[in-house]
Amino acid sequence: MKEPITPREPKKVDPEEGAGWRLIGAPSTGKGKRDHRIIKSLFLMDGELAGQNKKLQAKYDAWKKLADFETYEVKDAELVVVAFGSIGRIAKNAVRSLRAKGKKVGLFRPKTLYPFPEKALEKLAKEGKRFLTIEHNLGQMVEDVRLSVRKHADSDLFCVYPGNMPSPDDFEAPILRALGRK
Amino acid sequence: MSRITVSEERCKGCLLCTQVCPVTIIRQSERINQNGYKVAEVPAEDMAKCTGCASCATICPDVAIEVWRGKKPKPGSKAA
Amino acid sequence: MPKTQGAASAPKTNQTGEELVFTRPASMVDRATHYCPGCHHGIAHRLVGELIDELGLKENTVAVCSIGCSVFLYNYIDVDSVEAPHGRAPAVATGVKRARPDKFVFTYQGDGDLASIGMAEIMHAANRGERMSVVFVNNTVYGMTGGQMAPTTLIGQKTTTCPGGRCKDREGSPIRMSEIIAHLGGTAFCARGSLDSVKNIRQAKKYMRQAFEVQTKGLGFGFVELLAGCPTNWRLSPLAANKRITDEMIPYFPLGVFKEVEGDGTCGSMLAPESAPGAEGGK
Ligand SMILES: Cc1ncc(C[n+]2csc(CCOP(=O)(O)OP(=O)(O)O)c2C)c(N)n1
Ligand code: SF4
Ligand code: SF4
Ligand code: SF4
Ligand SMILES: [Mg+2]
Repeated sequence: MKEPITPREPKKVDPEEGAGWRLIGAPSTGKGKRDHRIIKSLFLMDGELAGQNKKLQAKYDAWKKLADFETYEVKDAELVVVAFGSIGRIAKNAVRSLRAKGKKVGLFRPKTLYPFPEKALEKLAKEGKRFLTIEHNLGQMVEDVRLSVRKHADSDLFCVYPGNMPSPDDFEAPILRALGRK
Repeated sequence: MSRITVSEERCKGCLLCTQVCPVTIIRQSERINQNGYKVAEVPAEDMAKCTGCASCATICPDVAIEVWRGKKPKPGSKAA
Repeated sequence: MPKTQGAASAPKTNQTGEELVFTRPASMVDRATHYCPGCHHGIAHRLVGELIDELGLKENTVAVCSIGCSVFLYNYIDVDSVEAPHGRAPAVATGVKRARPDKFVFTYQGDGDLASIGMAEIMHAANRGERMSVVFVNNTVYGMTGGQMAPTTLIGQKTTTCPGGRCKDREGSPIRMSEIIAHLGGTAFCARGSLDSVKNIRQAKKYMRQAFEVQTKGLGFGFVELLAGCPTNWRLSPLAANKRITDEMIPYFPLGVFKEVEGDGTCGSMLAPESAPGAEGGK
């Protein structure tokens, strides 16, 4: 499933950006005199690699705030279907037609899987909702879902074999089954 | 007159230099350096035979050898 | 050319009038290498350093290091350097050179890196005639990882992945890279030298100089293959390893120039460093 594009003004390019790391030859005399620079990914000195890993961890922590998701009809839902990508779109249609039949179901569709929108999902679990993860594989994202809601709830799992393309109708029975399971 | 110096810190005792010297004056010493290598040497009494050809330094993989040439090479010496 | 081999400055003389005729090139860092005793990477590094000095390229060079024992070239040669993923040095160098056509850009690659995982990159870089120089150190094995078979491993040669010896029917014949590279349209200079003897080392340096100069003159892609020893993985003493190069490698990998394009550099010589855009400190 493609997310809509939000155009934005590109950031100003700073011509001095990279002045501290650019490789353009190392003058050994004169005003620009400096040591030679090395761009590398091998860090073999004592503590060097741990330092690099720490730096990367800070980067992963910083991008947690980029976690993104869509919710649909979750407010009064008893069961929240969790699905992403093309299966997310198909599940949305299934939820829509079940809503039309008066069933209290909703959809949580992660737009990013890494970082995973764990906080938003946990909030729904705290509100007492139950979960059904639907995936086009034999169960991958369900692990993130279960980790996110683990203090308050669990998640059922419905898998579609990769290679089969399901329709919204195919999801109605498993959703109703999970809804009926108290 | 020419001579060489061997950096005992850098020498790895590979002995490649010993095979290329036209006057075969380089040999392995009994001295073991910090890295555990038996370093190469030219016995003091043989140094005068050095032609300054730099063959040893050319083949040394560890840039352990420096070659000096005297101002006035002996007549007939290859280093002229 | 300065008289002192490897030193960019005037020959050093001491009080007694002796002249230092051979010493570490100025663009080589004064530190011990991590290479095994008798490993020819040390010789190849020194030749690179000497040429960078003699051609006055030190301040205008970007080196592209590849994966293999020699990835740490950047710790030994005192120039700006970038580490490329395994086999991708020609692709990285293409980027560097196209972004900075005024820089002298060279890759330094092993036979596992260049002829195995990086075969596609080197072929296309040569074919495009990228203005770069390639130093290709062929020691017939994957040295860094413990001596596995490489595309260049000789027939009958035992390695950890062909313990019974390389077999032509099973693994194919050793690939002669220089012969292949010479046939590609963008190659301006291509030669194979060897590091097994003083005479061959001196000749190899001449080839390397030409491979560097086709770039500085803007003629095209410069390639030089260096037959080299890996005593450790060959399970030989350094002396026996050198003899193996002479007796077994050179007969299969003949030495000499495979291609030399004459030209006046009309397709664009390198810019002088001063007139280059974006000199240190920004425009
Ligand atoms: C993508 C990737 N694949 C495999 C490796 C493992 N590896 C490291 S060095 C090497 C072979 C290097 O051989 P060569 O280029 O001949 O260099 P040498 O050490 O012999 O000088 C391999 C396969 C790696 N580092 N990265
Ligand atoms: S310079 Fe020549 S003669 Fe002198 S020690 Fe070295 S190889 Fe022998
Ligand atoms: S060639 Fe160099 S490292 Fe090898 S023994 Fe001689 S001085 Fe030592
Ligand atoms: S393993 Fe081979 S290529 Fe690597 S440093 Fe040792 S001798 Fe050189
Ligand atoms: Mg190799």
